[in-house]
Amino acid sequence: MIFDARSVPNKTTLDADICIAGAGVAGITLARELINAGVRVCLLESGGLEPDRVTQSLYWGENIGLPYYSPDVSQARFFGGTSNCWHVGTGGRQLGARLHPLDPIDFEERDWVPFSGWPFAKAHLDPYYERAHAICRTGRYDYDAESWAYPERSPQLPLRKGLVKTTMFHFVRREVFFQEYREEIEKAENISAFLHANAVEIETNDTAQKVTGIKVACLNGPKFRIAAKLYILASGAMEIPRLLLISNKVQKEGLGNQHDLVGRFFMEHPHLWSGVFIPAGDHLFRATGLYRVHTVDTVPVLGKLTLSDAVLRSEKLLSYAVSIHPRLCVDPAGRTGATKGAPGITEKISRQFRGEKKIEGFALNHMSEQAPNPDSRVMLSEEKDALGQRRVNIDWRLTATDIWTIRRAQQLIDEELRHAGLGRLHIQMQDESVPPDITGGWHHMGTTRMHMDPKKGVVDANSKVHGIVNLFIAGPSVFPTCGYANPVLTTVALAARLGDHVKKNMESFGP
Amino acid sequence: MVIDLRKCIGCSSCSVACKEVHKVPGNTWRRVHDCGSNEYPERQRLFLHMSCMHCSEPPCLSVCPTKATYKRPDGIVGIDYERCVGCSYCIVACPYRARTIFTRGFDFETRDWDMSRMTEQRSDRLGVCTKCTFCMSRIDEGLKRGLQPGIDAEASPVCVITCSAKALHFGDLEDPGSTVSDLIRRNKTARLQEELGTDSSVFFILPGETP
Repeated sequence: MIFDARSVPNKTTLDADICIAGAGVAGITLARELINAGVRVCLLESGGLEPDRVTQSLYWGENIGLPYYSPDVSQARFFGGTSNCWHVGTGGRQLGARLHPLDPIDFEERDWVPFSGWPFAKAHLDPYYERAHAICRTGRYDYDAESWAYPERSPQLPLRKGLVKTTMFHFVRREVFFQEYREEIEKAENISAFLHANAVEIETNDTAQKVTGIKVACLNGPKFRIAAKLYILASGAMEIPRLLLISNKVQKEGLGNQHDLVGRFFMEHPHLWSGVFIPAGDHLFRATGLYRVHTVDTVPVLGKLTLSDAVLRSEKLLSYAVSIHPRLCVDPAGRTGATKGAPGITEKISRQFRGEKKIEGFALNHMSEQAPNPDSRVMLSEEKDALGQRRVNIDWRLTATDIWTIRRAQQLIDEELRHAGLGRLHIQMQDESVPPDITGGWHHMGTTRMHMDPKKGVVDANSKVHGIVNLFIAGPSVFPTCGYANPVLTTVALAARLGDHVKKNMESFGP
Repeated sequence: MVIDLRKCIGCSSCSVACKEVHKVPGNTWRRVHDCGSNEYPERQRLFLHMSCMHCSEPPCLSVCPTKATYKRPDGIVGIDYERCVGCSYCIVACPYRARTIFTRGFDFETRDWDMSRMTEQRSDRLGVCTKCTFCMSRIDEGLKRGLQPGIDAEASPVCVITCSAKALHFGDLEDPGSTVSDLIRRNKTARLQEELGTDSSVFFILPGETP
């Protein structure tokens, strides 16, 4: 059932078994997992069913590190959360988000990636990834390019040197969460979703070892509290650390922040358009259909190039993927003056009127892993929002390792393409300085990272906040590393996993 | 069309949907500009939507030497690609920068393994002027099926039905009972560059103060 929190009487306490703060992808997945599970669930959503500017303004904050999207533009504060803003074309008029699981190597503790390593291997998460596919209402859980390539129509590029391989991406339609699952939650008798309900403070006992309630405030409306047996924060990797740091009445450094980890390790997937794949022949434009969004047996898929595990290990690189886009590109040879002989009159006129010489090639869109970095972080600012809550400052930082991966990956792809006789790569990046046009993909991750050791992570392997018996976190903020995969599938898989854990252990949280 | 700037959160879903459906490169037919300021304490958000305004007095129409630009009885301004010679007069005349000529460079972007389909869809648009059509083919198809533009999704522009914030509204401005007429009546609206006398068909509901 869905209610308007503005109609809740002021200063009341609402009881529930489980309180979930945030009705985005993670929160909705969790709520669905708990439908008819014999528990009373309270789902808090800051916004309404549609956005409004005042609620959205609660996101406002400052970027004090690398240039980044304003936080009120890269998040959506209404039912469905950021799924409302998924806008990758999936074919036809459908928009959505890309899906890909993290690779097995992403879960490993890699000696060349400080702070890497998940508490479990990919094999542990595979059943949940499979469930996540069903939840996302997309095709079978299969990312092997072999399964989706057709030798005649859409073959894999014949890359045989072992440096580079093809991997597939799937898609989730954006309506699934904010529309189709909204209808399920509306009908669920044991779920009470409150719109316009802002979680503004987490209350604890005297030792900050147990959460006793969540304070809720409506803009220009009532204030009330939720008292539950357990609490799950699912409001994104900027809002969760914000709420934990604000909730400092008992634990002065912020809830769960005894080791100064909350808000640190903010990660994005560096996105960058740079470089050109110059194919050996025109036939490659027709032979690269696998690498464009296309449909196989009604399932939209997309192929990308990625580096093999062996090369990641031997070169000590981060995870990396690149998509290729046929374009008329500026000729790198023309730009560097490498054209043989003096230009003829036609060439001169052409340049005069058309600018630089253009060639047919593939523009490269890189998306890679950002290494965990404690100095890349979300923190509280002194500025306050309309509810009197401190806003956030975002200090996004990339290191030379992050940039080196993107540059070195191109060198390896060039080597592989040349070896296969497919063409070559023109690499624009000259060094490890951060390219000015590098950006993110609205993928906020890592700010309450998962680790078995409380000194190295905010949450444990079950997504429970270290040191607090009944506080859990869902969403990409728990990722200790992020691979190159869009975070949606792992978010949904972890939420389904958390749903199982909660259902199995509900009795341990008290009567 | 009525665009409620109080609701728009700048997600650009409308322009992405436009690009996807019409296979146009970049955000050439529809753009969302972030005109706000994120500087404390003057924070203000304003996302301005730019596309063809389907003017009642379109400056692009009178300058067209081949009469390729035309206005339909329902007010939609269209371009006859058979007549257009790509002279660009209309591009200069349009005060909203709504028109684009696709050159081979743009066309190449969409080169696809399914070349026949793409060539079939796009070849008529090469070298001629193009712009937002208000998805007139969707509207016409919908009307044939008895659907109502602005009410039924299948008879409405894709930007309208894709808008995350439900900030875009479409309908008959001549019908006082339509949603768009009602919104204009009940809210403070503005049109861009009204002083030019274009009598644009796109109305913006203005945002108020944000705390």
